[in-house]
Amino acid sequence: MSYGGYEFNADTTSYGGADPMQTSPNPASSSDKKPRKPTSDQFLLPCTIKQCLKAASADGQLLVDGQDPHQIKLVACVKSKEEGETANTYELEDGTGLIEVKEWINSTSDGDHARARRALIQPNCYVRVVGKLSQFGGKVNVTAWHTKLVASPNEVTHHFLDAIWCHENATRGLINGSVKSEINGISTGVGFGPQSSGVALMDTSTGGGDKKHVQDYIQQFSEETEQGVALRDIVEALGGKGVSESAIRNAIQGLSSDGMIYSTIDEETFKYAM
Amino acid sequence: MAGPEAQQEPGFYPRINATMVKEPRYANLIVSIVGKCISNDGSSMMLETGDGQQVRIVHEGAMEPGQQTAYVEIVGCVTEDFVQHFVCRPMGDEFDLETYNEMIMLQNTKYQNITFQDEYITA
Repeated sequence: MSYGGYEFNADTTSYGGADPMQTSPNPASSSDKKPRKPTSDQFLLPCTIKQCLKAASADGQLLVDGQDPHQIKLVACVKSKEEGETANTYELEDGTGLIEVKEWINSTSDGDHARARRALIQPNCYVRVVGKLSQFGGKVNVTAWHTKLVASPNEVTHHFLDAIWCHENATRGLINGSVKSEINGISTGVGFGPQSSGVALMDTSTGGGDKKHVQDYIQQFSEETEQGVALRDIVEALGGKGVSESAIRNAIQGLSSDGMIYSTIDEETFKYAM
Repeated sequence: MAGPEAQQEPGFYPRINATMVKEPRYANLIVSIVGKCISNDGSSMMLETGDGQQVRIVHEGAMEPGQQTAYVEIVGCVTEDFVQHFVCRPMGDEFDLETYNEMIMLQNTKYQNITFQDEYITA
């Protein structure tokens, strides 16, 4: 599942790629490794520190909005920094909470660039952190494999809006193509602030939901055949969910102009572009 | 609304604008205000926030010269109609206050569940 285009494969990520646990003093043996998640589950979720702190669930899993994020992204201010020989530990705060972030250091393979980047991170600076949620002693923390000063303070605004968007996306039940009944009130725009205040975070009309259905369907089945997904298959699959053919055609037109899909062998067969 | 005994957890400070400073909901809370520095006489500073309003920031001693950017974030305690400054963070010379203001309006209303300490979430 893609969250605003954040889906990516850890093997090809520009965030270093290497699992920091492998560079820790006590790497797990290969036989202890969990099987790799399918690519569709390897997504990067922008979230607030509060969401991370509340991630602990009863069965020991760390879930944000009911999902197990492969990686999370935070943008937060450094409250304290503790430098060690094998790892740096930061306390980060973003106004929603305080969390500990550990970044492992590989003194043999890290170059001058990595050392210079880490040296720039000081208390009172805003940083962008990509890493994995973990739990130790009942406390949630983050193992980071990317820490960097934000490129611009506007990144703070962007990150929080991004986190809200992903939270909406997950909690409205648009994940996996199913729509929870409780979102119907939101879909009509009754009684909620963003529509009336003119802050348009996402398309909240019923057409927006159809568009997401169509996008999810095409994304899911795009790679099953060389030519892609036929319009008639989409109509057949989504017709059962009450989505009309005209709504699907409208959604396809929108997705096509957004650059999310493209037509292949004819004007009624599509592939997912992202 | 939290009772007076509710303690703010470490790292929790609502992001607010100048108008919100006057709301009872934020009285005596540690908050964050991002704005453009309009004046600074050494003991107090006027900040213009994204809603176009101004708020007075009271601080002890002059701010460090290295932190004097056009836009700053102040983390401090709301006291009557001003904010007692604890920490000042530089936010650069080009900051989109209008979009930031829209973002904090969302944080303080519909999306308190992912940004506010549970005891401080209002209906």
